[in-house]
Amino acid sequence: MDASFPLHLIPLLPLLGAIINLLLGRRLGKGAVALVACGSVAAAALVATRAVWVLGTEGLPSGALVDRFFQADWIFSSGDGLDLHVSAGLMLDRLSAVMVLVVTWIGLLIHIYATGYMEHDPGYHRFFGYLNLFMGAMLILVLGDSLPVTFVGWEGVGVCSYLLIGFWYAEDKNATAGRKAFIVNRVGDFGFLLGMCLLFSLIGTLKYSEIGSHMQTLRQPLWLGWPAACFIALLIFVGCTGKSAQIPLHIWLPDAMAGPTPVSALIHAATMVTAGVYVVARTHVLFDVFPTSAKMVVAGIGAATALMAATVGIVQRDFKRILAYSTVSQLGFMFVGVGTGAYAAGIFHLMTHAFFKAGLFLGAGSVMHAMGGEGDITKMGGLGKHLPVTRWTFFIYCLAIAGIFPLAGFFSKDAILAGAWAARFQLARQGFGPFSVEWVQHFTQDIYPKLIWSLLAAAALCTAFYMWRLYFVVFTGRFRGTADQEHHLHESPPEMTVPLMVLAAGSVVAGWVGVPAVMYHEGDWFGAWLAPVLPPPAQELSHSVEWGLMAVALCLSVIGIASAYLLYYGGISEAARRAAQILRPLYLLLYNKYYIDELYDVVFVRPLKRTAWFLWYVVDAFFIDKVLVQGWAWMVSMLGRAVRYLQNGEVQRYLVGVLVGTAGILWVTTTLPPRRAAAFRLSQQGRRVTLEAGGGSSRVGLVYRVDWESDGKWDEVDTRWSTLTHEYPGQGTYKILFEARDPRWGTSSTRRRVVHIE
Amino acid sequence: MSFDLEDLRRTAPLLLLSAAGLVLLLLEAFSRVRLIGRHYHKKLPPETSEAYAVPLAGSRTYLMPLTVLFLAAALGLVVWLWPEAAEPHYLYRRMLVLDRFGLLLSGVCITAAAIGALGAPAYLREQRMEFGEYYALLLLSLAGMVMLVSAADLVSLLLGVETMSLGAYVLTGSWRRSPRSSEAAMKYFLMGAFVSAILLYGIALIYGSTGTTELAEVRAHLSEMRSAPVFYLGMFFLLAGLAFKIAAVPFHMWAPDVYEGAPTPVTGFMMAAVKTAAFGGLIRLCVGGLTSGRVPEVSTGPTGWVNVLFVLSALSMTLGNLAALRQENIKRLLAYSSIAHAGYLLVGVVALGVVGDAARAPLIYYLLGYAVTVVGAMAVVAALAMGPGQERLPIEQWAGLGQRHPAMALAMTLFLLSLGGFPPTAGFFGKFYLFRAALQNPSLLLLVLLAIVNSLVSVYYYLRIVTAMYFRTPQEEEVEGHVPAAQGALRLAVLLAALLVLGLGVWPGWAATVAEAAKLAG
Repeated sequence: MDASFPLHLIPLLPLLGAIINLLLGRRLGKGAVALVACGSVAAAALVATRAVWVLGTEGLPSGALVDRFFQADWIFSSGDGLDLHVSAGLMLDRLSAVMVLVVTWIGLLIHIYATGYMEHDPGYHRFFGYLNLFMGAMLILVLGDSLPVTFVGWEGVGVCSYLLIGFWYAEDKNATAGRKAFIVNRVGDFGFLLGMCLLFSLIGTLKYSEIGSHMQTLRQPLWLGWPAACFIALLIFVGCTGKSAQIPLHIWLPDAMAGPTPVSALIHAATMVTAGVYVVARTHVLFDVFPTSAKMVVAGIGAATALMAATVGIVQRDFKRILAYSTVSQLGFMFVGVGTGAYAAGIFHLMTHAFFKAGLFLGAGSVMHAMGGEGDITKMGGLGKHLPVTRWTFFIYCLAIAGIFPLAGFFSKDAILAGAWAARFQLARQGFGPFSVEWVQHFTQDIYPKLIWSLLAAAALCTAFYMWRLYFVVFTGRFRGTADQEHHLHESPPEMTVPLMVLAAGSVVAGWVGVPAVMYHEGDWFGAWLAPVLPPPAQELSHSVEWGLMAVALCLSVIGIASAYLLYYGGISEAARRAAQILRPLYLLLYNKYYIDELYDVVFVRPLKRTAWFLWYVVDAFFIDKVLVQGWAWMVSMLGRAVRYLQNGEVQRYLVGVLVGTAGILWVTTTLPPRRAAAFRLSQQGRRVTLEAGGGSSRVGLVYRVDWESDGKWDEVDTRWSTLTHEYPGQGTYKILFEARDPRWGTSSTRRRVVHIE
Repeated sequence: MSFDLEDLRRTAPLLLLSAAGLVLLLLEAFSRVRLIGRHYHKKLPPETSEAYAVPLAGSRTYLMPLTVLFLAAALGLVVWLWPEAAEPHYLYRRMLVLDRFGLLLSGVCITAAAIGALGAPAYLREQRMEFGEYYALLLLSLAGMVMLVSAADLVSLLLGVETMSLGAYVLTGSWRRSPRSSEAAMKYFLMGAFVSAILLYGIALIYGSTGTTELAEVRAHLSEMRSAPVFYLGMFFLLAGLAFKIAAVPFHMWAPDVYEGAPTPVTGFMMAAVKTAAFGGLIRLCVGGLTSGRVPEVSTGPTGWVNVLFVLSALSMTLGNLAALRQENIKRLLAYSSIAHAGYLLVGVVALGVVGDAARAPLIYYLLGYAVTVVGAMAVVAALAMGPGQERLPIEQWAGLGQRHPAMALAMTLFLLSLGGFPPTAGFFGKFYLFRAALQNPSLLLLVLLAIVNSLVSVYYYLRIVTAMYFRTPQEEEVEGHVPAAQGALRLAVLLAALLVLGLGVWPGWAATVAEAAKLAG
C-alpha cells in the first residue's frame, strides 16, 4: 500500500534557499549565500535519500510514498458533468526515486563546483537563487503525482533555464539564446497542454495512478480509427521534444550554452533536458496502447536525433557546443530506449549519462576557467600538463561516453541497443495504400527496429570519434593559444576538482548496477528495481545475439577512438585538414548544423516577423491605437464631461442622482416589460395567423388583449397565453392591434401590424 | 420561541466586538493627552497647524496591538462557532441567524479590518492624526457588519447598516486638519442619512404589505404579493438603499469623494469590509427574503429584483471602468475601480437569482479575494506617503518606485494584477469562478461578456500604475530626509495581504471548499 512521507520537504528546501538568496542574498555575503544554496540542496538530498530508503525497505515494490500534506484540492472547478479536481499531490515511486536521487546528488555536486566557478561574478547571489529555484522546480516535476503538478515543475524549470541562459544578460547574444530556448520550449509546452486537456476531457482525471484504470476509454478510436491514447501520447511527446531537444525542436539547446557552465551541466545536460524521457516513462501506459504508433514515432525521432546530432558534433569547434550536440544525441538514445519499450534501459542511460555528461561539462568549465573564458578548441592544446586532474577525469568521462567496458556508458548504451534490436512494433492490422497487411507487419516488426538499431550504432561510432577528437585536440599536443593565456594556465581550486573526481568515480561504477543478465545472472539490479513500475521489454534476445550486439558496439567504439587518435593525437593533423578540404560540402553541411536554423528562419521566423509587422503597424498602430483607443478616448471624454457635470462635488446633485436612480429603476422595470411583450411576432399559414408575444421570460404576470380586425372591439383578453391563433373568414387586408399590460402598475404598450390574407 | 441564553454564546463574535469597542473607548478617554501648539508642526503650512489635543509621543501605542488581539479573538470565536453553524440557528426571537454564510463573511470583514488596523498606526503617526477613537470606532463599525451579515429580519438588517455606517462616517472625518476629510464625512453622512430614510421607507412598505419584517416570513408571503405594487415599491427602495452602500451606479456618486477624502487605512477598511458586509446584507435580503421557487415573478419576473440588479450591474462596471480610465489620483482611481468591482459582484448576485445556489460559493470567494486585495493596496498607499501631510496620490509620483521601494512596488503590482484578474492571484480565480457560475444560465451570457470586456478595459488603468512604478524615472524627489512610514506593522500588513492574495490564487481549492460549505440559512 501507499505509505506517507513528508515529501514536500524535498522541493521546499531548495525553494526556501532560493527565496533567501534572491531576497537577502545581496546583504548576506558570498560565504553565506554559498552555504544557504549548497546546504538547502544537501538537506533536500538527505531527505530524498531517506525517502528512497523508506520506499525500498518498507513499501511494496509497486507502491509509492505519498505526501498527506497536500491532499486537499488545489484547483477545483465543477460543472458540465466533468469535475476538475487537482490536488497538489506529491508521490515517490521507484521511477521517481531514481530521478530524485540523480537530481539532488548531482545537483549538489554542481552547486559545490559553482561556488568556485562563479567566485568572481557580481551576480553571485542571483545565480545561486536561480539555481536553487531550478532545483525546487525540477523536484516538483519529478515528484508530482499528476500531470498538472508535473507541468508546474515543467514550466518552472523552463523559466529557470531562461533566466540562467541569459544570466549574463548584458551581452545581447546571451539574452537572445535565452529567448530562443524559451520560445522553442513554448511550442512544445503547447502540445503538452493540449495532451493534458484531451486526456482530461476523456477520462476526467489527470492523476498518474488513475490513468491506468481508464484504459478502456482511452483505447476507443478517436479519429481516423486511431485510439485516443495515441493522440494524447503524441501531444505529450511534442512537449518532450521541446524540453529534451529532439528533432524538430532541438535547435535551442546548442545556443543555450551561452549560460554559465555549471548551468549547462546541471540543467542542459544532467537534469532538465531529461525530463522529457522521464515524462514518457511516467505516462508509459498511454504509449503502450495498441497500435504502438506513438512508440514508433518516439523511437524514430530519437534515433534520427541521435545520429543527426552526433554527426554535427564531429566538426564543431566550440568546446561547449560539441558537448551540447553530444547531449542532444544521447537524449536521442534515451528516447529510443523508452520508445522501444525498454523503459528501464532508457532511464538507466539517463542516470549514467547524468554522471559523465555533468562531468564533461564541469571539465569544460574547468578548462575554460583556466583559459580565461576561451571556448574555441583550436586555440587550446597540450592542456594535459597544466590541468592534470581535469585531464584524467575527462579521460574517464570520454571512455564512459564512448561505451568502453566496464564503464557506465557501456552498460546503459548496450541495454538500449539490445532493446532496439529486440523491439517489435505493432501497427493496426491493415494495409496502407499500396502496402499489404503482411508487408506492414514485416516492416514494423523486422525492418523498422533494425533500422533504428543501425542509426544508433552509427551514432555510437560518431560519438566515440567526436569525444576523442575533443579530448586529443584539447589535452594533447602543443598549446595554440596566446602566450598570455599560456602563462595563466592553472589547475582549478579544490571545490571544482573534487566534484570532478566524484563524478568520475560515478562514471566508472554507475553502470555496475545494471550488468546484463548474460554477463552475470543477477546483474541487472537496476532493471529489477524498476520492474514493478515500468514494464520490462516484451521480447528477450538469445544470449548469442546479445553477446554479438555487445561486441559490435564495443568494436564501433574502439574504431571511433582509434580514428580520432590517428587524426587528432597531438593536435589537428594534416590528414584531418585534408579530409575536411576534400569533403568540403559535407563539412559545411555538418558545420552549419544541416542549415536547420536557416530553414526555420525562412519557414517560420520570417513569416512570423512579417505577420507581427502587419499586426503592429496595421492592426495595432492603425486600427487599435488610432481607431479604437483614440475613438474610445473621445467617447470617454464626452462621457466624462457628462459625468463631471453630475460629479461636481455638490451633495445636492448627488442626492438627485439617487432619486433619479430610484425613479429610473421604477420606470424601467414597470414600463419595459409590457413594451417588450407587445413587440409580437406573426406567422401566417393560409388564413391562419399565429401571434407570439415578445419579451421572453419577462412576460410572466402580464395581461394581453388582441383586436384582430382593428374594429375597436377587443376580441380576446387573457393573462396566461403567449401565443394565439386566429383564422380569418375571407380575403382582405387586416390590421392587428395587440396590447400588453402590467396590472400591478397599470402600464401598458400597444402595437399594430398589418396582414394580407389571400 | 423565547430568548435563550444559548443565543448569547452563539453571537459571541458580535458581543466581543461591541465590548472591545467600548473598552477601547474607555482606555482612550482616560489616557493622558496634551494640548500641542503651532511649534509641533514646523513642517506643515501654518494654516493647517492649529492647536489641538494630541497624545503624548509614544503613548497609547498599546491600542493597535490590543485591537488586533481583539480581532484575532473574534476570528477565533468565528472559527469556534463554525462546526455548530452547519445547521442554522435562529437567535433573539428570529432577529439574527447563525449560519456559515454569516460566519464566513464576518470572518472576511474581521480579517480585512485586522490587516487594515495593523497598518494604521504608522500612517496615523506620519500624518499627525493620532486619533484615539480610531480603533474603538473600527470595532463598533465591525460589530454592525457582523450584525448585518447575520440579519434574519429587516429590522436587524437596518440596525446593522446603521451601526456599520455611523462608525464609517466618523472614521471618514477623523482627519480633522484635512478639509477634504471633513467634506467627505459630511457628504457621506448626509447622503447616508437620506438613503437610510429610503431604506426605512422600503421596510415600512414591505411591513405594510406583508405584515412582517422577518425575512423568512416575507418569503412565505410572496405568493400573495405577486401583484401588489406597494410591495414592489418597498423592494425597490430596499434595493436602492443597499445599492448605495455597495456603491453601485447610479447610487455611487459619494464613493469617489469619500474614498478619496478619508484617511487611507479607513478607505481600505471601507472598500473591503463595508462592501463585503453590504453585499452580505444584499444577499440575505434577495435570497433569504425575496426568492421563492413557487413565485418566480418576484425574482426573475419583469419587475423582479434580478432585472433591477442586472441593470445596476451593467451600469456599475461600465461607468466605473470608464471613469477610472481617466483618473490621475490613485485613491480616486481605486474608488472607481471599486464601483466597477461592485458591478462584477452584482453579476454574482444576479446569478444567485437565476442559477441558484451554485453562484454562492464563487461570490463569497470573490468577496474574500477583493477584500484582501484592496486592503493590501491601500496599505501600500498608506506606506508610501511622500512626507508628513503629503500622501503619494498622483500617479506620476509613483514613477520609479520599482527601484526605490522594490518590496512595496512588488506588493502593489500583485494587488493591481489581482484587481485586474490575472493569475496567479485571488482576483483571477474570483472572476473565473464567478463568471463560470453565471454562465450556467445562457440568459446571463450578455452580462458576463460585458463583464469580461470591462475587465479587459480595466487592465489598462491598473497597468498604468505598474508601468509608472517600473518603467518611468521618478520626476519629483521625496521630502528631504523623509523616511516613509513603511516599517514594522505596516510592512507586516502588506505582507499578510500579499500572501493571502497569492495564496488564494495559487491554492484556490482550499478557499473554494470553505466557501462551498458556507451555506445560507433558509
